[in-house]
Amino acid sequence: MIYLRSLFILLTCLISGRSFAQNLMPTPISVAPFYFNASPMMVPPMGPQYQMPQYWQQQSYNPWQSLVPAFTDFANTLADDLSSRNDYRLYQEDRERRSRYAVDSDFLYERGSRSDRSRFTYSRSTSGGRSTARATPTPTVSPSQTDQCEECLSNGSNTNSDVIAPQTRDIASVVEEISTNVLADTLRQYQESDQVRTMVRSIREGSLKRRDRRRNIVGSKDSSESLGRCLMYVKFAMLEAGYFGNYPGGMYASDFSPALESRGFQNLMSHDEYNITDPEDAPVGSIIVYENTPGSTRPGHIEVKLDNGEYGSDYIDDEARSETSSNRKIIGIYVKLPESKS
Amino acid sequence: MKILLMTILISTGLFAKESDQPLTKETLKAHYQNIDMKAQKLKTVPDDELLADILVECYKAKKIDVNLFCLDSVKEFYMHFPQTVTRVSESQFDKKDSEFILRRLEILREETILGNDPSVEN
Repeated sequence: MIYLRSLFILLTCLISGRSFAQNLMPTPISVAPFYFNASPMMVPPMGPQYQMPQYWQQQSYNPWQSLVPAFTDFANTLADDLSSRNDYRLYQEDRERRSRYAVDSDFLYERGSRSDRSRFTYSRSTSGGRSTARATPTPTVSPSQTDQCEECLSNGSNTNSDVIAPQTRDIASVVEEISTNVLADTLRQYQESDQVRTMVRSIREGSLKRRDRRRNIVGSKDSSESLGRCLMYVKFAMLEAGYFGNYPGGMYASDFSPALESRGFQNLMSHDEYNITDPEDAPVGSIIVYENTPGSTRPGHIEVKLDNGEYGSDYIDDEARSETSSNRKIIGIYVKLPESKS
Repeated sequence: MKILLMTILISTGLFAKESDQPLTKETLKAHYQNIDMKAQKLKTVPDDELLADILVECYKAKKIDVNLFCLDSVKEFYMHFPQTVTRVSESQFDKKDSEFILRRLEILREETILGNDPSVEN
């Protein structure tokens, strides 16, 4: 009986091993067709012994490996919590913005010994006719004389990091603001120009008028209602602002970029200095051109960035069209830079 | 059997959670992308139920986007099968809402054919 049972188990193992074990074993991709197409009873073809490819032998999946980033994040969070540096998270965003101007490492306060770089001077360097901001930290006074805060003086200590660190951050944020302002000086000239103000006002007033296909005013409408005639309304606003002498041609908004460029407008998305791709970062009065995606690039869309963070063409919305349409892609953010700077 | 039941329950719960998410300005674009993905299937399978589902999902965004730009995903289908869209829209919505949807679709169709400035002719 025992022999019979053993024989039965042996046979079962052999059969199941032959027919099913192939599904359980790791099968190289290159030999998979043979395994899955061949009958279990088929004799394997004779030939040179199959060599495992090198990359296959190197693959060893370690499930713990994929958890390492999560553990690292958790450990970092825990370390932050334990070290009670909550201010780091509060100023996280600010830190990231500052890092763009390469001033972060210079302005960071070092515990225990205050850096000599506590006072800064800012110079405005001019290169190629354009003004650019460069933060140049310059030591002016010795460290012991730099702490002018009342708390530090009253305590008689200048190493109180709880007081000094926020001050340093405040200074850095002011510095960053100055740098940004200097950098965006040219763009500000554009957005504060009379032409842009006229264009913005015209867009706001025009969005309340209902125009038919022949540009005739046939009534009024709500400013948020779109008529699918964005280009017509933007053209009227640009005409009123004086950017065009006559009513410009062009049926489709996605094809309007050459007309803008012929009038001296420059695309900030492909500009040497102002690499602006997000409409939120664009100055007021920017003309944002879209194309359709996917398939045809037409008809696209065009709109003007208004004040108060709004965007207007034949309708006004508080979001750019790229945020309210899944199939509109920005291809240009156009501004007309002052001629003396360009 | 238990595993099957658990799988069904868990998946139902997950989908319920997904659909219960409130629609906001921040989630609007993702919502529209989902609609657009569904609308891609209309090109191969003109299905009334799928079209109705898309229109209903799209109309949910009216409080945030009064122009219903998500209808851009159905525009191409509407240009080929206007009667189907009209029939489905009328079966899913009351007369006022249905007219609103069809008017928006008509504006989008006209924009595609005549351009963003129909006063200029090529």
